[in-house]
Order: sequence, then C-alpha cells, then structure tokens
Amino acid sequence: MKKYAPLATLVAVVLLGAGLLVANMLSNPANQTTAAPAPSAAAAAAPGEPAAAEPAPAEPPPAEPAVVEKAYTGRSAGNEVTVAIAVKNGKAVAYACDGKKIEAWLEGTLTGDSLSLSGKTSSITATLDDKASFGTVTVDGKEWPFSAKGVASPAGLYEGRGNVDGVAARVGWIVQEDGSVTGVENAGGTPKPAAALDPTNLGATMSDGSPVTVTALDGASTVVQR
Amino acid sequence: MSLPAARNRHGRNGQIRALVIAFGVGSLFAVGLGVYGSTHEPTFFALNVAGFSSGIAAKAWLATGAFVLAVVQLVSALIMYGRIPVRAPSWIGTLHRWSGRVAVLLTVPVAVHCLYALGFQAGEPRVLVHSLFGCFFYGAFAAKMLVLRADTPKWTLPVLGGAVFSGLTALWLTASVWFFATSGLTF
Repeated sequence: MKKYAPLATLVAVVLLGAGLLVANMLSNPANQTTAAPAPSAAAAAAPGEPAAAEPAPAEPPPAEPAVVEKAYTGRSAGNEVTVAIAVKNGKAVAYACDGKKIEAWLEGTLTGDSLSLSGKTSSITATLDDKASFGTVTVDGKEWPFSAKGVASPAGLYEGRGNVDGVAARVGWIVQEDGSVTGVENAGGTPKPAAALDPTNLGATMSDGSPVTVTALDGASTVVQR
Repeated sequence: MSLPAARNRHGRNGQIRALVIAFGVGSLFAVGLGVYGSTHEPTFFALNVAGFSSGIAAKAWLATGAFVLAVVQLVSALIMYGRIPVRAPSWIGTLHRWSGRVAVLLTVPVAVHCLYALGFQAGEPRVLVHSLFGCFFYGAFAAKMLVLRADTPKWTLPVLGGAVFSGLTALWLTASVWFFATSGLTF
C-alpha cells in the first residue's frame, strides 16, 4: 500500500484535473449552444454549415478568385453591425461587430466572385469585385444584408491580443475608409466596447492599462481555431 | 537511503531504468500540457470558484495557499534530511506527505483554468515564464512522485523536490504576486 501512495497522489491529481476540465467543457455556454437540440434556427444551421459549404469547391472546375488580395469594410443596411472582410489568394477572413457587444470572427473561401465564410455561430455569403462586396451576414441567428467598399490601409481589419487584468483578451477592430473605428473586446467570455485604436500607431494600444498587441489581418490569417 | 542489498539486487541498470521512466513520464506531462495549452483555442470561459470576487482572485488565493504549503514542504524536507538542527518529530513524514498532497491539489483548479481558459501564451515575458513554469511544474511533480518509491540514485529526490518547489515559487511570483501587486489584496 505504502509503495503506491505517491502513485495514488499522482493519479488523484490527474483525475481532479480531468474532472475539472470536463466540468468546464460541459458548462461552457459556447459548447452548450451546439449541443442543445436546436434552441434557435441559427445554432441549428451553424453546425451544418461547413458541410453545406464543403461540396461547393467540388463542383465544376473551381473558378479563379476574382480578386487576389483586398480588404473591404462596410456596414449592414440598418447599421446594426459593421463588417470587414479581407481576401488573399482565395482565402478570406471577416469580422462583424456592433462596437458594443455583438461580434463574430469568420473564415472561408473566395471562389470566383462568391464569398462563403463561417464562424462559430455566424456566416457570411457575398459576392465581390475590385471595388465592393455585397451580401448577407448572419450572427447568432440575426441576418442582415450588408455592403462593403474595397479599401486601402490603414482602413481594414485589426486584431488585438493581450492580458487585461490577468485575463486573456481578444479584440477586433474595423477601421472604415473615413477613419471611424468600431471594435469589441472579449475577455473571459464577456464582450464589451473595444479600447481606442490608432491605426497609425498600433504599438500604443492599451486596454484598461494593459498593453494589447495589435496586428492588421489579411485574408490568409487564422481567426477561427477549431 | 536505499539499502545496499536492494541496490545490489536491482543493480545499476535498474536504477537507470527507474530514472528514465520517471524523467520520461515527467517530460511527457510537461510537453503534453504545453501542446494542449498552445493548440486549443482559449475559451475565455471557465467555471468560477464560489466565494471570490473573480476567477482571477480565486486563482491567486489558491496558488498562495499552495505556496504556503510548499514552504512547509521545504522546511519539513530540510528537517528530514537533518539540515535544520532540530530533532525530527515522529510526525514530520506525515506532515510532509499531507502538506504536499493538499498543496498540489490546490494547484489543480488553478492550472485547469489557465489551460482551458487561457492556454499557453508568450505575449509578454511574465506570461511566457509563467506558461513555461506551469508545464515544468507538473512534469517535475510527476517525476518526483515516480522517484519516491523507485530505486533511483539518492540525489534525484532532493533535486526533483527542489525543482517542484522552485517551479511553484516561480508560478506564484509571476501570477499571484503580480496580481496582488497590480490589483491589491482582493478576495
């Protein structure tokens, strides 16, 4: 018995850790929305989305992307959310936020002139050319038509990462062509309006006194990790 | 510590094998935690521990409790090794074992929160050091548990014990102390 006491301690630590991890996973609201039996149309649609999007590239010979590299910023028809899309070599990332508490990160592809992106509980379908992109953005079951203009730096999509009060925080900012900025910061699962961003001085970005590392995103960035 | 007879029976190969197993498993623990922490998307979500103003405060105090017990560990180990000139009381071994068990169990909720909600991060020196020591601590702990009853060279136990203590101290300094210094002594 005594011989195995240290082993028992080790096993107890592993079991406690694994138990807490599972408890965390089970109670994570993000996991519950997908696990729950279709509480809303959006949640039901979201998991099916990648499957629906997959066959598209398999159709006829995949068309060359209409635009090689470009960023677009704009807003939904009723200004409910701002939208930024970046494309590069057939890949696309997007961010939508209302500057207060709605936000969504999306990734997808550009085939020909049609964009198809999805996030955890969000999706975008749109068409684009060199000057603009038009389509529909869906976030948490709410669907809005949007328009976005092709823009040049410093307008575009920015992502910030930092530790604010000891909690890992992620921030998304959309800088419009006229210089206006909308953004949402997510720390510990709670979204709130983002700190100010000066696109010409990214290194000076602070949130609640903590430095935030900001990068300008292009279409080949990774914003949704699975 | 180990009897000469036992040493002869297992021989040098046995010692080396036990050593390789202990350090191998410890390394797997450390690398595994690091890989999990850096590959999974931080959820920014975790269960809160009841009774504290925030998850961060709870973590800071749990870690502080673990650190206090770790000091008990260090002192009781020094007494057992005769490095402190007091007569070792008969209960010193029990004290050492149970303070160690409680200490490491206190760290588990903290580590799970770190791993699940935040992950391995290298954004700033404090966070990088903390992430590295977090992986190191559990690796060293696993190795020490495996060495305790194995026939390994005498130096392994105090070295691993010292590594575990140093790891926890570094973790406590880069997290709890940092938190108390920036946010005050909040509960």
